[in-house]
Amino acid sequence: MNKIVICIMLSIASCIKFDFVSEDEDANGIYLELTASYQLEGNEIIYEDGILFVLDHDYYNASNIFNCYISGDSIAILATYGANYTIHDFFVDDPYVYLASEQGFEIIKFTSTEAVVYSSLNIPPASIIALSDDRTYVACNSALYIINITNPRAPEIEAIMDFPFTINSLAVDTVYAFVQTDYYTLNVVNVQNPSDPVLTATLVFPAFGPYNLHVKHGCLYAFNKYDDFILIYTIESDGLNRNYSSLSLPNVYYAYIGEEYGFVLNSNELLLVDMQYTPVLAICETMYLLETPLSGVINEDTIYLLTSSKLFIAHIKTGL
Amino acid sequence: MHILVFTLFCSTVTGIVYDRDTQIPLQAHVSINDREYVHVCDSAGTFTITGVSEGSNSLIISHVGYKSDTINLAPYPYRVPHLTVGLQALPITLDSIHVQAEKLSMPDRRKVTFDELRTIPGAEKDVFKALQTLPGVNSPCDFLGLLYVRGGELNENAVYYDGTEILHPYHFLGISTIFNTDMIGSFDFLAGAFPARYGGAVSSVLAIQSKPHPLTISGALSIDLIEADWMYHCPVNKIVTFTFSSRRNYLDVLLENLGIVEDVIIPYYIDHQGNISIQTPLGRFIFDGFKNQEKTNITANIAGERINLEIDGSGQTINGVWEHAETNTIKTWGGYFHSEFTQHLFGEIPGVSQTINHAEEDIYTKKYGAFYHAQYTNGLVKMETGGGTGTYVYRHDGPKAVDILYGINSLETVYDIDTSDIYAYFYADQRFSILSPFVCELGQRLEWFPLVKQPVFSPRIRLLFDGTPRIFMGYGLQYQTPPFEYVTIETKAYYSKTICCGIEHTIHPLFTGYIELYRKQYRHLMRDGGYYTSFDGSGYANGIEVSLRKHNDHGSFGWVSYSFSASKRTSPYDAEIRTSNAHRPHILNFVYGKEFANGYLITLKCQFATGAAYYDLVGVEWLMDRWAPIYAPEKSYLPQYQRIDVHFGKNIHVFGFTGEVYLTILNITNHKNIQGYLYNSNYSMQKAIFMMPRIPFIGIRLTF
Repeated sequence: MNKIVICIMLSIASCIKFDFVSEDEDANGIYLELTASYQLEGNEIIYEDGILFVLDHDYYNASNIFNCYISGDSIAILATYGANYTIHDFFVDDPYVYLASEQGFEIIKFTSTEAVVYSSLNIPPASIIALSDDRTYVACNSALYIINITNPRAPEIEAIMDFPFTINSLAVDTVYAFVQTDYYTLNVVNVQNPSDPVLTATLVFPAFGPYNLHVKHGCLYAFNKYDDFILIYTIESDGLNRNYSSLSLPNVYYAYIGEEYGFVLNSNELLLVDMQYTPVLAICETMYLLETPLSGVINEDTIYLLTSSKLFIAHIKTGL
Repeated sequence: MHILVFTLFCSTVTGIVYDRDTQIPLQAHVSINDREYVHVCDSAGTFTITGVSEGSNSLIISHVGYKSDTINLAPYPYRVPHLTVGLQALPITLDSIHVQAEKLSMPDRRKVTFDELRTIPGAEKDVFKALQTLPGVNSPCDFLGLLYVRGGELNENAVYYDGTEILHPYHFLGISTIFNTDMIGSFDFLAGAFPARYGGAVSSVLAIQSKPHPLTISGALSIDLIEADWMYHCPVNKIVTFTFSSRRNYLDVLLENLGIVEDVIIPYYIDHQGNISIQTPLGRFIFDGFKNQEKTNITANIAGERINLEIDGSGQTINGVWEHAETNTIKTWGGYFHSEFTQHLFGEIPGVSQTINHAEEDIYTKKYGAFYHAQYTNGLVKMETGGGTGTYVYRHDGPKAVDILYGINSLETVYDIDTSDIYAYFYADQRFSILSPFVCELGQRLEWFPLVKQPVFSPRIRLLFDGTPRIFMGYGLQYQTPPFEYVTIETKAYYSKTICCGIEHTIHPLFTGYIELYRKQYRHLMRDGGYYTSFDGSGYANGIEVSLRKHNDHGSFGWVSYSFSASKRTSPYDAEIRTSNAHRPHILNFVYGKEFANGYLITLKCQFATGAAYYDLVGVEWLMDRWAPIYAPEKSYLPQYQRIDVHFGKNIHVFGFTGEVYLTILNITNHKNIQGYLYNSNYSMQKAIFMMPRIPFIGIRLTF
């Protein structure tokens, strides 16, 4: 009996295994991989239902907008809308593209073969455009135009709201329009009744600078490229929660806010932003770039990056 | 019952003696009618008597508490068979026993005795490792004796040794406690609404009782692959007794010689503990002393970057207590204690642009004071009151170097604190029978904490239905001070409001089942806002604990317990007020020990639990000139925790010593339990820190 017990004990003891040192591994299992590049000129890009819409400014205050799709190793341009004036901003709700330009407000209808002016409104030169439901919000200097586009053939101005300073940025959701003026002030406008917008609150940003405003996930994201940070405010039923969280960034000039991920750009890096814990944002991966991108967009796990001469495709991969 | 196995030669008589009912071997006395001396059976109950002369005709077998048996040898003139003798137990008549009221124990008091403690795998040398098997308790790490109790934090537990609070019961990070197990008689663990006698802790109280002081010389010597210790108890006469013990671990020597110096804690500590007891007509004077020294190195290498932390510490505590029994019903005890502790930490982490950041942290704490308690007991009625006052000194210089272990790569925040303030407490507790079998215990505790500029009152109510089953209810407020390095002008004592209800049922004389529900609300929790510290944090813990305990019966004991805890609380490291998951929601523990008749013993300990709650790293942000981590707003849980330990032992008797040779195997399945993660300076790479691998170690423990 004693021998059996001793044998069992020694057998177990012989299984000594000091393998408690672990290997280094990627902290979050998120990787970025540059998979393709195409010759393409443009300044801004929007992805909509498998089609890329690109705004390209030329050197003579003229602009082009074209739609294209990627086919294997090549890129196919479907239709182009050429304007001999500057298009400042655009928004896509396929098949319509809404323009804020020197000419005011225009709606262009894109098909697979052509792009035609569908309708337009004679308003002052417009600089920023945003879309929510059946309305577009267009910033013209210090005025906010609310335009009903239920019938794209005949858009109607529902309301005009004047602010004391030039509008620098604009974002909307179904209840509120967020309007930044004079580099400091954020105006919160209730647009539940679009024909009677009501200024419900104003708040002062913690730092000077033009902000790019984005609304997503029930939050307002305010990107300040002067001081390199994003402020995140929670939109509540009774307005904007003034307590904000923030993400500090390293010398970036462009921010894209997506569904699961966003990204910011500096001169030679793309910094992927994890959005899943919004309003807590964090840079979760970095990818070095050989060229300086101007803008970009994410569709699911694909990132489209536009430089002055190329379109780069990168993929987000996960798994430790 | 009587089984004849084999025979021996005529001049030798052999046999074995059993209890007739339980078949447990008895160390009975065996004598032959013509012999003057008596032979004593060994622990297996066997005996061999040689040189039995002709004419011997009877064998007398006797044992205390049993009816003696006489066997006639006449029928075996030449060959005496191997005898198997079953003795019949007798009822023992005892003098009447006066049961004092303080013997009434509330069901929420969990007791583990020394005999159980020394065989629980991994707890042979550390009382706190045994605590980790009790319901409602979990630990942040296998290596450490630190405790999370019912959603509480590590610093929210109080430890009393023979009634005196121990300021620093742990070595650095809780690697080990400062107590020698051989000095401990038993411990009580209270996690609910504990009596008014105890304060300064919102989560739990561990009351350790030292071993009784017999009037015989005794001692213990223990050595294994990790640690060696000794204890010597010496009564000078019937008045004065001394007890001393020391211990020293040499895991540092072992690991360094094995070349294991990275990604592991390399601890060194040496502890001395002493006790002098003087019995006089005025009462008993007890002096306890603790002297500890430690040195710990932690080095980790992550993606080519090195993190290093070196800790030097020492502490000493002395206390003197005067116990006096005025009458059979009135007992008083009072005394003085002085405790101080110093620690120096040196940390290194990668800095900006390939530089190394250094940090040095110095901590000095001192607490001294006096106390006096009085207790009256008469039957179920108990009245107790007491108070104490003293001074708490705290000095802290430099940044918190230890933060580098928590993934905090900035050592720029300096906590220079030099403070000293008085503390005081007074309590009164009364127990009485409302209407038999209902017992009520009402208590009120008044506390004045250092730097908290106002008194706090802690009412405690405990109700017991002392029938079948026993039903217990408790309610209490429990206060404590925050860590002193965070104190501000508006320092508040934080508290937990506890309500609990338990049912204890004796299923069988050997088995007791217990179920308890509790709800704890935490208020005034500290929150480190970066620029200031505020005390507006909160939290809660709701839970249920179920346990079934088998009481020690001839070396067979054990318990199985399941705990569910849903707890959320403000983290001290959060800049925002938010509550997040705390610790493990599900914990299942199983402990079973069995001592066999032949002197072998085995104890099995199994622990299964949800992984510990932790803040998952989401990513980073760029702050000024470096990357800073951003964690998820809600805590996630690490992978499931599993650990099975086993302790094999064999009782031995050598050179006049009795003792045990044992083999303990920790984490026998070698399950890789993750304790947490360390990150490199830009938080792009991580390294999992595993807990205990499979570790077998052999030891021997001798007593006399």
